[in-house]
Amino acid sequence: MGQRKKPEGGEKKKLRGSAFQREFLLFLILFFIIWLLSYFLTRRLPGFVDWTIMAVTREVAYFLELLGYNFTMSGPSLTFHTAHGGENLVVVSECTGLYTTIIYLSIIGAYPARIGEKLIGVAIGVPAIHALNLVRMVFISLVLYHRRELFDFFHGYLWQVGFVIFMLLLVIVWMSKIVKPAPAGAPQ
Amino acid sequence: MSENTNEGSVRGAAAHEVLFFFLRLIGASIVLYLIYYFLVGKPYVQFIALLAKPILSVFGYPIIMTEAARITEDIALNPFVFLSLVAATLHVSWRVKLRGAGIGLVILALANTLTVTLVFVSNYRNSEAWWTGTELLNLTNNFFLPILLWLVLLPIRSAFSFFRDRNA
Repeated sequence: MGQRKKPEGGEKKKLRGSAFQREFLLFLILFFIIWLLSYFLTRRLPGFVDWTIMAVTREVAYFLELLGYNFTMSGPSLTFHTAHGGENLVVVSECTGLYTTIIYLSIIGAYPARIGEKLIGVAIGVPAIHALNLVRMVFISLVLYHRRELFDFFHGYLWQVGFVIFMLLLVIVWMSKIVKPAPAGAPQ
Repeated sequence: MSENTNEGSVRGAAAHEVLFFFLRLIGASIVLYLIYYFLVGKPYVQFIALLAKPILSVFGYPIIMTEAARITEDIALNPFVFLSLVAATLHVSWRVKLRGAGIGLVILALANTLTVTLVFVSNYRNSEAWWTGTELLNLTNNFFLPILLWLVLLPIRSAFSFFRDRNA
C-alpha cells in the first residue's frame, strides 16, 4: 500500500497525450473567450477603431510624403495623382492590423506561459505587427500608384497570406525563444 | 557548463528549424498563391457560391452569383494559407499530410460557404447583429482557422523539436 507504480512506456505516453489534449482544449477555450471579448469591445468602442484608422492613414501619408509622392488626404482616404489619373485608397478597419493584433494577443493570452513571458510577447508582437502593417500599406500604395493592375494581386497576398505567416512567425519565435517549459509537476 | 553548451546548441538548432520552416512556408505560399490567382481561384470561388445557394434558399433568400463570387474572392484565401502550412511541415509522412490537407480543405470550404451565406442573410435582413457575427466568423476563418486546422490535423508536436522538448 502507498507504493504507487510509476507509469511506464505506452502508459506514460498516453498520460502525456491526454495532458496535452487537456492543455490544448483549455488553450482553445481561453483563446475564443479573449478573442470574442476583445472583438465585442472594439464594436462597443467605434471611436477607438476610427482612431486607429486615422492613425494608420496619417502614418502611411507621412511615409508617402517622405518618399516624395503626390497625393491628397481626406479623412481615411488617400487620393494619388498618378500619370494615369486619380487613384483612391480608403483605409478601413481591416487595414489597421487591429484584428490581427487581437488574434495574436488572444493566442499569447491563452497559451500556458508565465505572465512575464506573455508581457514580453505583447511588447515584441504588437509593435512588430503594427510595423509590418505599415510596410504593407505603404507598399500597396506604391503598387496602386505605379502598377494599378497588380494591386489586387499584392493586396490579396499581403493582407491575408502574409499576415498569417508573420503572426505565426511571431508566435513560434515567442514559444521557442521566450517561453520556458515549466518544471515537471509545477503549475503554470 | 556542458549543460549550457548543450542548451545553447539545442536553441541554435531550434532557431534554424524555425527559420527554414518559415522560408519553406513563404516559398510554398507564393507558389500556391500564384496557382490560386491564375488557375484555381475562379473555379473555387464559383464552387463556394454554388454551395451557398441551397443553404441560402433554406433562409428563403435567392443568391446573386456575381455578388457571391465577389464576396468569396475576398474571403477564400484561407485554404491556400492552410495548404502552405501543410506543405512547409517536415517530418510528417505524405499520407498523413494528404489526409490532413483533405479534411482541412473540406472544413475550410464549409466555413467559407457559411460566411458567404451569412453575408447574404445579413444584407437581406439589414441587421447589425448579423453583420457583427459574420465579420467575427470571417476574421476567425481567415486568421485563425488555417493555423488551428494545421495544429489539429497534423502531428505538429512531433514535427518541431522545441514542441518535442517541451513535452518530453
